Amino acid sequence: MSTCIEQIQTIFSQVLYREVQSPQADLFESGLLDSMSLIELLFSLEQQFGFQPDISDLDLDQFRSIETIAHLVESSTTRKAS
Amino acid sequence: MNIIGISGLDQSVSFRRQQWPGLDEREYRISQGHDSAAALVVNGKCVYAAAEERFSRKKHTGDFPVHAINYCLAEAGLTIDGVDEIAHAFDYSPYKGIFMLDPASASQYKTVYSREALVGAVHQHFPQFPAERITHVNHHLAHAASAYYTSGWDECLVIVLDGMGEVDSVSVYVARNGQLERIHRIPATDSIGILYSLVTLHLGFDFNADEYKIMGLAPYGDPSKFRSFFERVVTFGDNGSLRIPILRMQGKGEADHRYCATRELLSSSLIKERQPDDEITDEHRDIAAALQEVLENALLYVCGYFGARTGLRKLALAGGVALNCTANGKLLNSGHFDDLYIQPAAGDDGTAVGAALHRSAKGGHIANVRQSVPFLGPAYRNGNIASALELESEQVEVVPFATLEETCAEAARLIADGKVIAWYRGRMEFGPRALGHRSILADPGHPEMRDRINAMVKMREAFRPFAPAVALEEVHEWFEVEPGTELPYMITIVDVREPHRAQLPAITHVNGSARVQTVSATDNSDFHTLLEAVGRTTGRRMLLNTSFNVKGQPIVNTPGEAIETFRRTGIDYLFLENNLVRRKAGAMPVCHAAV
Repeated sequence: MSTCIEQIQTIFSQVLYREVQSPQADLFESGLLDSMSLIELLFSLEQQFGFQPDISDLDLDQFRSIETIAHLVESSTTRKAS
Repeated sequence: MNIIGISGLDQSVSFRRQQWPGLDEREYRISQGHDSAAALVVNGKCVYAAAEERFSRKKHTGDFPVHAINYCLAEAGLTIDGVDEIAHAFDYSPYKGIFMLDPASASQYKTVYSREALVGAVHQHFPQFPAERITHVNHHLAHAASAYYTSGWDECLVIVLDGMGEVDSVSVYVARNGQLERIHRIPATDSIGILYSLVTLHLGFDFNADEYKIMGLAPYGDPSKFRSFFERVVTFGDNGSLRIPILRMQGKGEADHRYCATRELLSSSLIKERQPDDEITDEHRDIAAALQEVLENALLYVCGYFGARTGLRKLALAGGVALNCTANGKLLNSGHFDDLYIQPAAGDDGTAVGAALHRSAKGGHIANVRQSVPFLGPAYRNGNIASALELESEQVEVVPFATLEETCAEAARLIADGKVIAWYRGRMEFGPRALGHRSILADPGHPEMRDRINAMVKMREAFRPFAPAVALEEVHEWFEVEPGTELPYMITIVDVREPHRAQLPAITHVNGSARVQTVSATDNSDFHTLLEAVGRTTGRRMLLNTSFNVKGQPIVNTPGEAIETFRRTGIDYLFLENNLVRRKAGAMPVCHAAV
């Protein structure tokens, strides 16, 4: 079963059509994540993981890399489960 | 409770011009917030509404609708102080943080989308209006409200399809007990509306303005030629979703949102981009046909899926894609629903109505009565008409009639004689269609009428069809619908009955279809009276009905504009209320095309 990181990497390549070289790559500095693609990413995260943050209160730093996104998603879904 | 709803995004196009000078003029229309309008809702019912373009004469303008607001206030005898709320049909505030991600979108947010920008625009014109009474309504929710709260239904499915709202292209709602609950969304990155608009642009027409021309071109083409391309680029998910990956081809993002990579793909896979003055070829027609087919399939899929999932048999539609009358006709005949209601102002102008209705509903005031023919705009009665005619007294002469019946009798005589008349009376329609108050009318049976009106009156593309208005009592005689089928908004395509197609050349499209308007004596009485008179002179209670404007011009608003447009074109006679206006002997039309 693929890890959360791998699933998010797949979202980037197959949904957003953005190839991200490593889970630590800075998505903002590299231009791989901009406002519209972030909105689409959130939509995909909701569909795939049930991840539904309050979009008006996002900490954008948590979306800086695939690794940080995975951490955010996993901790959110763990909170929900408990 | 008095609520003004407004649509449009002031500064949207000017921001693009300033930020990205040197784009092709048509590329500035790849932007949000056109078609600004204002609507006044009083105790839950829309009483007045008008598009700003009709006052400013800038077609599709997104400028702050100050003239439309002032019209609504004046008509209701209100000042701005008497307005409880101004509700705007956009709400970008949830996305503020996201828009701050990159400098271009941050600047755009601040200048165009922010609350501060809206409050600033309101205060520029109404400096005393309290900011706390300026509210925002999500764009798709405004569309949905414009449909649900004018449907007259307590329970229905509501589907909004457009290019995009803030971030979505489709929203699906269950409407019940006065509430709208969203159950599904499709993001803007999978927007069938944007795809349609991009191909419209690629075929040499205007993005977010000319899609209906592509719809009219489609029946001349063969969809099979490019079907496989569109079937590849638009796929249907198993949950009611659409996937259109080519809209994401812009790689690392494209600050100026011109969809360059997508358009390059259209050039390599379909045809090179057509410029507006280039000839339209069979290939262009075939592409239009295939595009129209994929849109129809997408609409049928999404609507059919959610109809089945919810079990709801009544569907209300809004959003710019719902202006695609051909697709609406397919939906009507699909069997997915027992009843279909399409908000006549399905485009962004209609969100002004929806924003106000939504806020009114939130406050517990909503009437939810089925929208009658939307005669919600200004009327100009005898004093204004007399003044306008006086100004043109050297060019025109006037024959007044005492009654509507006498006026109609003369108009019907002229129509039977093959004349083209402009018919101006009563309140202006709200929404894109002329429905009998700001119309150009002619006999649909006249063989050359379509070409004549296209060339000499509207001065527009020759392939564009015209639409019929028919008395409700005889719609089933001429068109393939059941007796009494009400289609009052001219927003749905049906087929002309085959035996009659040859007799109705001016309104029968190349594939035998027509965008019919039914006219009832209760909801559109003056126009019905005219149709009765025409029935006596031509044998058909039917007219070719096209909007009173020429290409590139908004529909006429004032009597002065009506007279000027009459003089500029090959229209034979103008009826301003019960006054027949004709050119004085020797006065030539001030027009661009030879008679």
